[in-house]
Amino acid sequence: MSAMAQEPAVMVHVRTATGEIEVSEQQLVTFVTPLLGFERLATFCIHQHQEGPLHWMQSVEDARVAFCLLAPFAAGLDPDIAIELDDVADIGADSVADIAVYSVVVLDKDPTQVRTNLRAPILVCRSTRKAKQVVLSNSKLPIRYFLNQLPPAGA
Amino acid sequence: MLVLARRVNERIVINGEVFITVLEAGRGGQVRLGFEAPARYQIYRHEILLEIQAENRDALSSAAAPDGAAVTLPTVRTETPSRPVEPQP
Repeated sequence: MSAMAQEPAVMVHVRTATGEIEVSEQQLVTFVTPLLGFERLATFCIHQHQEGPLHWMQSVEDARVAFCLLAPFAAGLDPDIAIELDDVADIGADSVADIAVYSVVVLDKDPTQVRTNLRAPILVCRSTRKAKQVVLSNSKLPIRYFLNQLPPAGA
Repeated sequence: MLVLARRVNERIVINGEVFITVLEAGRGGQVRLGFEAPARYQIYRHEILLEIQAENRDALSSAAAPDGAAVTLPTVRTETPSRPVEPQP
């Protein structure tokens, strides 16, 4: 066996509000400081919704807790997100390139009310799988960015 | 709660490393404060944190709604990101 051979992905079963999903261990993230308002939960799995910029973040510890996330850069947004060096260090990232950025999405039956929080994104270090919700100092970033303001597809 | 009376330009120190200065005590009850602290202290207006907490809770109830079928996911286009932002599963 070559030392280069990839370890097979370890799959884990995670209970959700409606059943169970199977995710790779690499999709698990651990919050080094808790998500604001969810102080007792640390471990989540993040999986992409279809092929788009939306993702689901499901608590591994509480099946009822799940969030919809947006990868804002992949969705065509270019928010001026300046990541503090302390936050980079907290999640064990070597560089900003090692960090995935997600924003929390609030879904709503009224499509004009669907929004995402660009002021307090979730940072995930790809290599350590540690995560943190940060509050950015740039007060121009909206806590409620309505997704119907997104640039139209193909623009 | 510890209560201290301070005048403009007077300071408060916490743990020998956080300095809070009263810069201005204006009419209308508004007070301007200056903070000097090591970078590891994250200093926010409390209402910002409360607002983010409330938004997180709204996000939870919307995503975990048992009648999830009533909520349609927004149609969001995918762009080839100009920076690497997506984790690879």
